[in-house]
Amino acid sequence: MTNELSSPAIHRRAFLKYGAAATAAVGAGTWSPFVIAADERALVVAINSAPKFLNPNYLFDGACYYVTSNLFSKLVDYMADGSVAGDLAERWEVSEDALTYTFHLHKGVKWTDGRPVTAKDVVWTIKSIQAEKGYGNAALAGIVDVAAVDDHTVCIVLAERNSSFLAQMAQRYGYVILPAHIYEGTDPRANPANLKPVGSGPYVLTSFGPGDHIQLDVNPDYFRGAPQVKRIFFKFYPEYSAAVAEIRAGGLDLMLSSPPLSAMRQLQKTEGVSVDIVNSQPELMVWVGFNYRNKILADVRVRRAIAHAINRSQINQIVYGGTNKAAETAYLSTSPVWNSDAKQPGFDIAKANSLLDEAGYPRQNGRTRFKIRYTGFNAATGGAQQIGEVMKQQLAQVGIELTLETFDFGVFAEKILQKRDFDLTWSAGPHGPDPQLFSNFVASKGGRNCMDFSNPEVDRLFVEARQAPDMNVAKQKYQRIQHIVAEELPRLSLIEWRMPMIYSNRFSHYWWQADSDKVPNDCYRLVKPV
Amino acid sequence: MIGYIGSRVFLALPTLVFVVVLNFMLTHLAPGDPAYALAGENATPEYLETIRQEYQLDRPLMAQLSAYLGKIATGDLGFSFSYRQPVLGLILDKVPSTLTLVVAGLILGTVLGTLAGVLAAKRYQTALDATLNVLALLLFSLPIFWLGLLMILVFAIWMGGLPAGGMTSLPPKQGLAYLGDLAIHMVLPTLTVALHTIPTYFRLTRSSVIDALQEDYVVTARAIGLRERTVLFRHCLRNALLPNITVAGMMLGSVFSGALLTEAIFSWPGIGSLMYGAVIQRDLPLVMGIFTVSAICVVIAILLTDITYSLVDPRVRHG
Repeated sequence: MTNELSSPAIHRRAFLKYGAAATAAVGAGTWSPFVIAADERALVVAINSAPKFLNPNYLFDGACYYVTSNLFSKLVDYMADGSVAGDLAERWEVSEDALTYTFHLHKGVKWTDGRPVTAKDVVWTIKSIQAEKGYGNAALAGIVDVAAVDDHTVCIVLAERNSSFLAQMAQRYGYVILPAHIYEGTDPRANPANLKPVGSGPYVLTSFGPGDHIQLDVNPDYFRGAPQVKRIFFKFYPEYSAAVAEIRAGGLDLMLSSPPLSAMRQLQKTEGVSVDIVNSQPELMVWVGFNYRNKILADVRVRRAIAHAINRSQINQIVYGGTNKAAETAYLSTSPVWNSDAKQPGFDIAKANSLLDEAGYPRQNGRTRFKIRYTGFNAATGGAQQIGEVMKQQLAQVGIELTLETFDFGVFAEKILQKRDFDLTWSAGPHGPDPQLFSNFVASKGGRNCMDFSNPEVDRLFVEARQAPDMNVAKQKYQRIQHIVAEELPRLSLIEWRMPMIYSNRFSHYWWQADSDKVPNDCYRLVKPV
Repeated sequence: MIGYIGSRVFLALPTLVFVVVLNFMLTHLAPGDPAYALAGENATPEYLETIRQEYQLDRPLMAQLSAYLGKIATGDLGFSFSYRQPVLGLILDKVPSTLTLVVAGLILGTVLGTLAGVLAAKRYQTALDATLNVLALLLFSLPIFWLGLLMILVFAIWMGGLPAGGMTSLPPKQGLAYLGDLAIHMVLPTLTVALHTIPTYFRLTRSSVIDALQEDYVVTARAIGLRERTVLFRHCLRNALLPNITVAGMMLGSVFSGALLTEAIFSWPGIGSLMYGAVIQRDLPLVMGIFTVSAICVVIAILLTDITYSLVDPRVRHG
């Protein structure tokens, strides 16, 4: 039998003693050097999910843009202030008939593999987007010819005049100029460079593996000068709680997602963390659409009554803590074509009741006039469910019973966009800066016109605005559209959504803070360590 | 023995085929159009049509099923809609991260659950036994995602110090420092997985040890003057652990699913995070691939459990 007292095994007391010491040693490490501490030159950015590829030209991936806006250049690009500026294009000329655009490219621009960026790359990129019929093809449909005049000049010919052409080429997602020498002769959707890009942007990809982050390092040959922040990490947080904890602990510098209001309030009080509420880009409007196939909602008096019954300022206070703006018009108030006179019906319970009585839905003995469904989806802006809850209370005051349903986008799209299985639908989508984007929602053939609203005058005005010789002429058309939409009310704008930018005070000069006319959104070229 | 193993493998195959078919039907019949989920909110009808054709979503369901089964038979799990890469490669990339979490959580949960079970059995019907029972019931009742969020709130936000998400600090460390950093990042997710596992092992061990303590061989061991610790751990626990082996295989599925949720909460870059994105984007081949690989792992674990059990207790293979 083993004599346990003489056993060479560690004695229990010794084990506890050394164990405690070891724990303390590891613990000491935990509380200081092991905690994420951003290198002075490294910026750590939290995004919701890992990008699936790093080429936005052919397929859609919501996370891709955050990274690729630092890896690639575009021909023209939207700056953070909403203006369109040249990127690879140093300048351009438009022919008198506005059908031919001649772009002159910056000279001396290099791909990260050392080869020069030339007009051939621009031509190949545009033709490949058209050939692949990818995500951005619709915006290029009007191009009938694109050719390289010389190494640094590209000529694009349009089938018809398009006042939104530059805005479309500058759109946030897609249209990055790709290296023809890497992609030519291959299947561009399956090219290995989609995961290891060769770009001409301010940064170059260093690592994009199966881990929890992407690393970018500065491109020393960037044609506008190397950025001050030498290294960027994008870290993936599918759930906001971990990101909130990390930014409070100092392990993160910027969150590109908006946590719930309660978490945001906590972050506003956290030392070393700031929260700026900024106009998002693309600018988003939260709105509800009325299904014209529902015979109750097909009556404009009912739609106007619902608009009168919804207190949009209250929604802004309850759901967003007053950080956003209650919408008064169909277009965003930041739009260059905004019509401040084309106001939607304001909050007025008496008027709502009167219109509903007039429409033939009397409220007898305080009973419900009719029931309708509210269908939303879990969007990045958040608030679909909460807005529904508030609207349910507000509409109950005029005798309308609202039942709520919220889905993920896949189910929502099937119910709303395919089957039209809804009464009142919630949505949040880009409404700018290009005013022509609104046609997607209210033109007869608009992809997001789930209401099935159709007004020949609106369709005609969109075409006329697109073909207008200049923006002043186009503006009149867009303003008339806003007036018609406010009258007929196929949809009701609720909130002009603004993005809460949550960041550590270790860096400054983000795109919404300084030089917003020189840098696009999500580009860290001008960011400086504090 | 070989005949026994052969018969178990033979029985496992139809189970796998059934699981694959069930997965296929569930994912395809679930509401939600994959084309819309992939194309995004502002996609044009033309782009949606391109996606439907490219991914053969316009083919009849049975034709898609037979094509999928044909691929599976050759070891091809298909091509991810959203990543545009082979599914198997995507999953294999994430296996080490998930395995690290599952194994660490399972070991910690098994050890703590078993020790707590022995302790409760030894102090049967005392205040300690009652307290441990209540704690186990509480842990068993808590949904794992809630437990994970609670961990973040307490240890990362209120107490501070422990990282709440990810697998490494940034910039990543090298060599031994990397391992230390990984260990620190593993604390909260591993504890979450382990706490989810503990109640099962606790309850099982407690009841087995209570039974074993009544056995004749325990009385004999005490009678010959062995120390109580030796009686308990060397004789009593060894016999009482048999049911734990049976449960280990079954638990793998539960721990695996728990780890997948834990990964999403703690931003752990494993199969769970991969699946989270795949479900949101209706990336059907990837979702099915993850389900199939998970099912294979669980079936293999149960198979190994059966074989281990038959080695430990020969009556099983002759029964």
